[in-house]
Amino acid sequence: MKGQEVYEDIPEDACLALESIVGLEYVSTDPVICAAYVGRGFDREIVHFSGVSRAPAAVVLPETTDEVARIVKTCNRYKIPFIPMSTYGMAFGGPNFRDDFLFIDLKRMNKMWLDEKNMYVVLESAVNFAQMHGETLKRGLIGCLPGGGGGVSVLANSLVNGMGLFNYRITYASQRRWNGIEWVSPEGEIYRMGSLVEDEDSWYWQDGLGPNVSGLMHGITGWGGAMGIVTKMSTKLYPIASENLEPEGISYDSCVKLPEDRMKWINVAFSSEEDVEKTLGEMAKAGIGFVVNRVPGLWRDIAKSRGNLAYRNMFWKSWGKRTREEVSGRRVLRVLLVGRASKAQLEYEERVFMDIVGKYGGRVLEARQVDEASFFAVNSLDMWQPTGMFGDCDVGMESLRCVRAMGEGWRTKETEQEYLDDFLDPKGDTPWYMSYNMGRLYYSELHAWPDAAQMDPGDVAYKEGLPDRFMRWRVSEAGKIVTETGNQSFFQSIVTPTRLFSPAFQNYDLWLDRFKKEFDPNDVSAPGQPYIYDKMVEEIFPQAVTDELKETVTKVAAGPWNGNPES
Amino acid sequence: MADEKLELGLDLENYRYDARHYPAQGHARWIDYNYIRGVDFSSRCPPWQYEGFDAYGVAGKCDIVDHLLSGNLDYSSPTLREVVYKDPMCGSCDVAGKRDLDFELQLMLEALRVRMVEKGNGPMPEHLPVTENIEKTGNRFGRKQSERSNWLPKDIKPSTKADVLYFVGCRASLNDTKISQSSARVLAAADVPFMLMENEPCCGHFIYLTGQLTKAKKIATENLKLIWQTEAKTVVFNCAECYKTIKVDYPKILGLATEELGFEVKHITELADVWIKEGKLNLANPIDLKITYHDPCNLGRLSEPWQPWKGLRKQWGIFDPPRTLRRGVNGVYEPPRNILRAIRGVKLVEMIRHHENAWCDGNDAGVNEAFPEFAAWAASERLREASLTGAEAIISCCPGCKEALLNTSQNNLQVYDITEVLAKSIA
Repeated sequence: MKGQEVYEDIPEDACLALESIVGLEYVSTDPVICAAYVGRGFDREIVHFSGVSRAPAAVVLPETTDEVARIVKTCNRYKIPFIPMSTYGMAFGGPNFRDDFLFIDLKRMNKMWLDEKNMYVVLESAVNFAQMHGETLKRGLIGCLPGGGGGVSVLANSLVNGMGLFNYRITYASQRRWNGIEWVSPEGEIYRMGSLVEDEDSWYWQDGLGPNVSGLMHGITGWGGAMGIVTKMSTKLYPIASENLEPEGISYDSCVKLPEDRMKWINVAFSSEEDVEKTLGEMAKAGIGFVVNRVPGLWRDIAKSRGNLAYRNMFWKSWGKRTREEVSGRRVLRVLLVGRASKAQLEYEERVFMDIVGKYGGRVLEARQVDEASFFAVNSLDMWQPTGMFGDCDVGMESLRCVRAMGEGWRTKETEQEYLDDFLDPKGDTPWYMSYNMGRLYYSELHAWPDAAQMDPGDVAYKEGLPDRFMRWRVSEAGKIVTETGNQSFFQSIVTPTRLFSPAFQNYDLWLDRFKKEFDPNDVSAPGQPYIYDKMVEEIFPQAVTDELKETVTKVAAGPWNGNPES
Repeated sequence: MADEKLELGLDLENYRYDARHYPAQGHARWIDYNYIRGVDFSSRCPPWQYEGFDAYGVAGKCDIVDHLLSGNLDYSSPTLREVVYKDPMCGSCDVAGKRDLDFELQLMLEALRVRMVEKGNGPMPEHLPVTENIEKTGNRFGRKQSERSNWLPKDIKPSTKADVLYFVGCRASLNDTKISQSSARVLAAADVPFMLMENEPCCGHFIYLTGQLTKAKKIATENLKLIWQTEAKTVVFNCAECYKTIKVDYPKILGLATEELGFEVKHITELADVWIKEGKLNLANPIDLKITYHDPCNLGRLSEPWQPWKGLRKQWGIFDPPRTLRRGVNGVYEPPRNILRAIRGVKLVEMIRHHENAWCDGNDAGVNEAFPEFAAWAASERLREASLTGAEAIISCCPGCKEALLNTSQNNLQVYDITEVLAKSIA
């Protein structure tokens, strides 16, 4: 990587030190073992095939916080760059641009401790969403956490500030769900935060003596491993209907049964986005709902792809028949109502909801009264079904005004022939969005679906220039919409170049740099992060940054606030 | 821009797309998310859980295959051989790869083993004695073939000519004769005339799954000829390994569809389930036992019929002609459970991981021979899971599984093959 020091390969002494920490069987420098750590997950086609991703020089599997701290100290002593990873949902958090680093695979750190009475759970780095809910839901408790897939680390996903389906009533903000945190700093010191300051077994509270430094963990966006390793986190749990949710069905059609008297899915079709927005607003005022999702049209066709035919064949057989008029004229709101306190609560919420739906002309659709993809599965892999790859051009927390502007921008883009030649045609749909904090905040995702094979230079189907156009859409065109609307993307450092956009967002990279320098003087904690995307765009996709975007950033940076004339 | 020509089979080149685009590192580590009930018993991959390093899981193997096909890794690596062969080839990752996706992970792993043998770095040295036994003596134990029919009880008289051929398999013929004897009693009780092969050969399961394709083809060709000579309409098995090998692997190796074999392939549980419903089997004897059932991989997720496919992967990944996938969810899951439920006194309880999510006992595909400690660990994990159901006994439908579970130390459960329980319950 340009401008970045590349260290020597891992010295033999350092390997011996690592072996003495975790044991011989949990350290490897073998090329075969290391080859398996080039990075999968979201954005693999961009990260891996562009040449960003490299195999590490060594892999180590610690089991305890103490081992992690000793490994990190060893890395500092020998100036070995290290990259931590828990469940590997993001290709981008992984190895990149260099082949001299140590990969700290945290999968052995998979323990959890549940305090039912005080309603919190302490999780190690590798405990995933489904595992956590497997334990908590047996006890009538639910986490209010980001859901990036059932197999995704709860802790790591919280550090990225991911969004969750269950956050509608409580809060989107990850740090408000945390209690005590155990953190190994980039230099290998163990910090215990929150109530752990007073008692190392007290995980109950986020605040401790002195200032709350848990913001170091991410701020509005994650560090991509550049700021040490969080090894344990305690997160709050909330009561939900007390019955256990029993599984049933086979793997392409599995689900959990919902208690009929406590939970109910209702799908409603509206004829315009405006009616959906008004419904969301009134639901928030009335204080009803548990999961509230504005569902894109093609999700229905993904959900209907069940059977033994290949999913792509099933999906396209169904989606291929949908007309633009049909898709754009049908806006579906999918709502889960939960009577957390009683059956009467569910009945009350349903009555209120149906009143609102009636007022805005909604039509109730059939809904299966089971849950397939919220409590355990959080089935983000469904998103790969249509084309084998999907790209989140941007995701963010925003006002309804931003959601609207982003949707309009997206719909304009999707009518361009170049876009339609490269990506799945969404047929006039609006991006997926959700309401949070009872309508105080909205969250949306702009998606673009290229054919995975066409994005792959190693495939006969490779389409020349497609990765460049994909990146131009993500970085410059979606980026322009985001910047102009004042959207604060929590993926800023993951799918867009931080430094490029930073001037439009109060130059927050200066703040990041100061912390990084202070806490990681040897620059060994995932070096390159949180600016790896900047480097990738600069070196591999320079044409992704258009002059128009640069002008927009300059204009917005000049104020007023985020270019919002109303502010 | 071109469509990609593909053919299902054992050429590793056909799985380049699968190796490069399988999206998620962790997805194939876990059972179906809706069935997860905590950290314990949430894993679906024995070698991945045992070893820890991603190379031992299928996502890591995808990376390794990608590196091999690109020439960035050398086939001669001893570590590569260990990674490839420390794997019971249980098909569990394949179920994950087809949960919401269209990936052929099991075929990729089988093709990888074939490639390893072609490149001279497979099978493992520990696999050679068994291979030699099968080639020289016709059974995996190197015993005399003349001993093969010693299991037959005197009171049971097979027919010299019948529509049903009972293929006994090496283990039930020579080692665990309780299973063969029980199976024969079930057939007799149902009043179904059956014949035996005069000099029944080994099915070659071990040889195929260790990647020795040339030898496996020879065995498959010869064995099919022998079966065809019997003119059997149905071949019935008590061994899940033999059952799957002849139902799935023979056609795969020889370019046929299962339905083109010229005979029906049935596991004895499929037939017994029907016979019970038809009243042909009278399960008069109660068995007072709390039982949990262990799905053999070869009877469950790996046993769906083989259907050759050749065609194009077109834009968006659409297959032309359209392809049906062997998802691992349509195997033989219910017949054994139906049988157990039909026996008076039996209380059937499920483990957390069951049906297509079942945990493999880790002993197949040469693992027991080359990596006995790992194999024993996988089986002990299964028994630990079984014990937590409160069951007194664990039942399976494969002599290989029974052997694996019985040989595990610290086992406080009774271990039976389903034919033993069924035979006891028959009046």
